[in-house]
Amino acid sequence: MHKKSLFDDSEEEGQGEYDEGGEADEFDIDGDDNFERPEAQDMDFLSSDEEADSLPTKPTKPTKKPRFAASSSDDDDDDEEAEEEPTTARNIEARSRALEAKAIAERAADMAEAAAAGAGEETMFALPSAEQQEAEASGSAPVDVNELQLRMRECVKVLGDFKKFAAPNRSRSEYVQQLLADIASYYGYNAFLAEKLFDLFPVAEAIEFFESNELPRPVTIRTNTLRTRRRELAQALINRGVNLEPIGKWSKVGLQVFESSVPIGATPEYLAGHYMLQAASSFLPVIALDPQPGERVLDMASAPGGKTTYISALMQNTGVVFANDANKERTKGLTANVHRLGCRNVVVCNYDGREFPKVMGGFDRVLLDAPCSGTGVISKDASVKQNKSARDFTLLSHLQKQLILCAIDSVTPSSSATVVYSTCSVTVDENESVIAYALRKRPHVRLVDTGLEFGREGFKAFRGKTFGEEMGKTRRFYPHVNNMDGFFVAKLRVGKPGKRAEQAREESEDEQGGDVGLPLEKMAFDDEADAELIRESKRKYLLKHKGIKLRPKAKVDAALCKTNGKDAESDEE
Amino acid sequence: MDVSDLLRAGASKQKSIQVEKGIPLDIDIAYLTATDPNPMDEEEYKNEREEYLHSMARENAQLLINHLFSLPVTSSPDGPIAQLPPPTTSLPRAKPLPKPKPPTRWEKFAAAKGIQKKRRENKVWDEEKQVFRDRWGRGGKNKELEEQWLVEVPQNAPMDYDPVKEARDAKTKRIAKNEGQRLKNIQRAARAKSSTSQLNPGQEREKLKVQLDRDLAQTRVSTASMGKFDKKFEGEAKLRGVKRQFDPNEKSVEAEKATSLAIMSKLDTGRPSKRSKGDNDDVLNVRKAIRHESRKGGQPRRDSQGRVKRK
Amino acid sequence: MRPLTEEESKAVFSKLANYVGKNLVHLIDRSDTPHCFRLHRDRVYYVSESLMRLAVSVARPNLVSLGTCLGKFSKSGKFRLHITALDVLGQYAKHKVWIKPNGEMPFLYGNHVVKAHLGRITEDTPEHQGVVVYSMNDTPLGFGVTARSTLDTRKLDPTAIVVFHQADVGEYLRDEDTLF
Repeated sequence: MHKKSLFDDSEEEGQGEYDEGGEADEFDIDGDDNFERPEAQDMDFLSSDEEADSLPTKPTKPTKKPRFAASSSDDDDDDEEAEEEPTTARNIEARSRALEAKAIAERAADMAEAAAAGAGEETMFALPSAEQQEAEASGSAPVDVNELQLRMRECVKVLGDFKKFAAPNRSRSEYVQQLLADIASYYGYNAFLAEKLFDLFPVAEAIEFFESNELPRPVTIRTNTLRTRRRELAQALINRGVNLEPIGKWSKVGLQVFESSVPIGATPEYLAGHYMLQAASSFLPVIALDPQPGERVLDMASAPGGKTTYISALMQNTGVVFANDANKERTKGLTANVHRLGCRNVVVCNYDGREFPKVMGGFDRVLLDAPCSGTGVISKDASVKQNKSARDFTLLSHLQKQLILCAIDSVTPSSSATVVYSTCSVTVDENESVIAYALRKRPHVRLVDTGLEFGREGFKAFRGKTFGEEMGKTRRFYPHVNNMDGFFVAKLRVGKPGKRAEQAREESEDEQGGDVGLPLEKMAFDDEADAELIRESKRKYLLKHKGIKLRPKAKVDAALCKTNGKDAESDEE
Repeated sequence: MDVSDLLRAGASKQKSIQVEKGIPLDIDIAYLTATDPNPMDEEEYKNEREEYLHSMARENAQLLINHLFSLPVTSSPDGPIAQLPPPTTSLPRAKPLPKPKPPTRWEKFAAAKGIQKKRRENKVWDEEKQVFRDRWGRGGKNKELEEQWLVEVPQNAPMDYDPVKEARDAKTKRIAKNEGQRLKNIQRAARAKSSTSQLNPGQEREKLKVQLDRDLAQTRVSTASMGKFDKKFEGEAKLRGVKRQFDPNEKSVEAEKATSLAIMSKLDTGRPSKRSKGDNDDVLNVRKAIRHESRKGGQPRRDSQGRVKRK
Repeated sequence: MRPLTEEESKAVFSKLANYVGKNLVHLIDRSDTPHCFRLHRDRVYYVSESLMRLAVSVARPNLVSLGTCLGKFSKSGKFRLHITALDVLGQYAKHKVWIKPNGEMPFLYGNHVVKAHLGRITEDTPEHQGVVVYSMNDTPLGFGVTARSTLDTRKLDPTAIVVFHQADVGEYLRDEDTLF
């Protein structure tokens, strides 16, 4: 609920900004001759004080497909103008002048209304009608970006305090549907993914999340402690004209680069292996893994080697790190990085991760940075927005479940046996569901604290699924909260199978609920029933031995049914 | 009792031994063969084939037997014996004629030069003894030099000059040479036979080379160590198709270290390269030390004549 | 993965000895953890024994690299040092060359070291001697072979080549595809 109050706080500012936006638009329209629509404004109105410092770079403006400015004439005021006939490309030339004047007038009206809204807190917003929505969806009546923005803002406001702002005879789901459709078209997501991500957050925060996905994350580097120290590296880079500072209190090796006069991936220091270009989020699983010198560690999906080399550095080049990657091409880059950073204790191999306990087991720690949908790194790879479908998520989570079991099986159970599961995805079915599955399938495994003092707790329950209190020990990182890629980290401790299993079963019996955990029956030997079975099989064996033909099975069964344990002997006679 | 009637009656039943033929038969009595050149009587052959053939066979057989009985006969304890004359019919060969042998090197040369083959008489005239003697063999002429009781020694002959041995050696050498030539001729003939027309001389040579290489490779790995310790020549071709044997991956590291060190020390004892001359790896770099010392002392360096060298 | 044969060992050692001289003994006979040389897909790796024993479990087609790669054997059986061997060479190098900051980038692009860029050089370096190239702040940048001895170098003009380039850390970017 914290977020919600945050949203409320910033509402006034939001209105103010909106006004400014309106002015800007008006100005754009005035100077617009070639019918291109004005650039979309950023939905910055939600930014809180918390955010201000974590987003150092100026937000970039998402570029939109140019559409005809004339369509702004069907701006959705709450007046009857929604009914106005659509403008076509043919008649647009003739009408442009007239429209311009009209638009100015409308803008003025808008402004006045907005000001009134700011002051009076009245509901000025109504959802578009069903026909309108259909038209938008089919593309016959494209919507102005500004209008989209406005509508989204209003939807968020309404959903934030539904009782107060909602129009009568409108359901909440209608607003949600409208908002989702708008998000999908405004940010360019497919409908499925938009809904999936939207469901993760409260309404206001969801918008923040989508907004932050449009911004690049800061460039970060990791000092290679095998070769140099952070202070020395920073000094050397500053001498080269790189503007940087430590990434935060949580890491002793990270540096954040603000600007650089030289390519940061080709300095002599980089080539000499003094640092690694690495996203801040990829420090986290290694910190959680906490490898110790002399251990045997497996990195199941290691390319391009940022985490592997970090592990190796933490182990001070002792013990063994197995760096595995399923993609042969990517192992080249991995090997290059391993050698460049001077990690001598690394064995690079190219297996499917699922083969792993068969190839070799007995690891002290396993890091599984699972292949994922990449919904946490949309800012890096925007193609995710469009190309992920429900099927992808099913396949991926299936693979992740297989991998995590393999990872757990590769570890020798002990007090320090650790498996860290991480993804650069924020969806629940790639993260909490996978962990819950692993806990269910391997009762000797339990979640432990990740050792990361920031980040949100994982979902203990999500949309009817209950994952249990334990799941609070996992950590989620979001671009809009931590200014790093969306990330998930869970740390599992693998205990001895026997003892832990019973304990876990008792626990799970206590907290049975939701669909997590199969109903576990008490399994034990039933001596009486067994004795009967043993006797029967002995009899069969004897008869067979003597060459006597057995009675048909049905008969025997019938006989067995009739007789109880003790009568069996008489039956035999 | 006169049996002449009976005889006549019997004779009348039997056919006459006198047979008339238009053209007399060709009889090669040595093979007991008679060939009838008379044309067949077509009419009779068509009408009664069996009878006609029967009678003809009988008649011809009769003629053959008549001829046989006309041979001169000698009596013997086993009865009369006739000596068959030599055959007059020549039979064809069972096998084809042998192909002509490929000419020897000499024959080729002789044919090219038009040298006629001359029969060499086995006996040669001995001027001294005024008799014909064998050219070779026991008491042959070619052993003359060896068997002389007195031999002229050349002027510059060494002390241990043995004219008999000398002569015998020369003779064995000639024999060996001839044998070599003979074998070469055979080989050449065999080769010509195996590759009649398919291969030109270049290919021939290549094939030989391959064969030779194969033989060589075979011999190289035919030692107890599979050729491992054999001396290698500069630029010797690597053996192909020979299974390489490597050390096991997980042998004792100590042993491995020892072998490595051994290899390393071997490297050093090898030719001291020019570039490594300057840096002998002693703790003290002598040249540097001398220079250092001389500079520190501040004394001007002197050359061999003791003159002060100016820098 | 297999141990080197005698021939291969000779080739590797003689190449290494060109840079580290007698210090090669310290590579073979280490005081800390025992190390060994292993050949895998024509590449020679310098690995600690424990690492090697674990890596044996990885099947040959799946093993990509282990320990430190020293270099590779060409098809004709010659051994060529890779830039990945720089760590080993830098640690035991007998002769070193330091280059000035303005010479760093040209060297990292694969050029020879000219006299103008030469900062310092180990005294008494003979010609055609393998040397490790450092930047002025002692970061190893690559290795090469001297064109002239230290004494001859003094007389050269500034554009003359003093060290022939053999490998530099820029290859991590330039030759990533062929190097590994």
